[in-house]
Amino acid sequence: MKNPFELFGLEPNFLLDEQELSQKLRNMLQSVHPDRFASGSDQEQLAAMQKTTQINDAYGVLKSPVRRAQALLQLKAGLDGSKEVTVKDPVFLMQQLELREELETLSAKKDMGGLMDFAETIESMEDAQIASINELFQQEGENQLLESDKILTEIYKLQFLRKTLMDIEAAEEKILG
Amino acid sequence: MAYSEKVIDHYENPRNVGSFDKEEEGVGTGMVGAPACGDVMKLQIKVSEDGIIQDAKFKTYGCGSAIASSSLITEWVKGKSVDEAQAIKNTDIAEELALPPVKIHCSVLAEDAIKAAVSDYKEKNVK
Repeated sequence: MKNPFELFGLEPNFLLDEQELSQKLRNMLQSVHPDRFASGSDQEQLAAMQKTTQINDAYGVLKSPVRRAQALLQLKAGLDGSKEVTVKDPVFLMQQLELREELETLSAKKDMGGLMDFAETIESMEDAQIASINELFQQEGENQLLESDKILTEIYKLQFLRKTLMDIEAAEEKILG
Repeated sequence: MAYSEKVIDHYENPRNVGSFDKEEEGVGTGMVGAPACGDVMKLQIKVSEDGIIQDAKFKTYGCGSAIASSSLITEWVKGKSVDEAQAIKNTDIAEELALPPVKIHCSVLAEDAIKAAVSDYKEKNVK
């Protein structure tokens, strides 16, 4: 089976144009739309349905920075970054713990404005993290091997930030009822 | 997903939530995290001069099983020597709490946290 990048006719790069990606998604989904196969055989209809699932799955991987980076590591270094592991970097984890404590305080106070500001802070941390992952991927080729273990560590950090952001959204929804 | 009664009990009435000053004499701090689910766990032990764990505290941000696993392990380690505490296996936690297969990693995290706390204590108390 084709990897998500191949399926979308993209070079295996971490950086990608989101608009181009969603345009491609629309075109590809149209080409396998059930209406086109309404008069086709059962086999053709089934094939179109399977293709639709493949396209949606691949899109899910490509649009998420975490999953896209994991897919690239798998592709370039044969590394499975989705395994359940334990991270032990005390400085980073202490910072994450403090962020969760801050979220807990804001959430208890039902401080909607505070939560929105906090979400912005985490988003900019996420952007910085995505930028440093990108930088590590771009280093490959300039007489350098891919620092796959280092990239894996940076993806882990992005995953913790992602989780904090999801928790902020959940806290906001709870306040709004 | 259905949680076991023991998980719910520890989740609703977590034991030993809180912190020690990590610079305090005899305190060991373990920080661990699971990137796949974003859980963060801090586990601290307070050890007497003869190497027995007098008290333990934890703070966990994560799912019910992660909170229950850390709550349970803080109860278990009290009164144990640091070496006994380090020998606690995640499978014992998982069995006690009847964790389903998808939540086994929560018990692994608690085991890793106590190991990290003990090695922090040992590093600080090299004799």
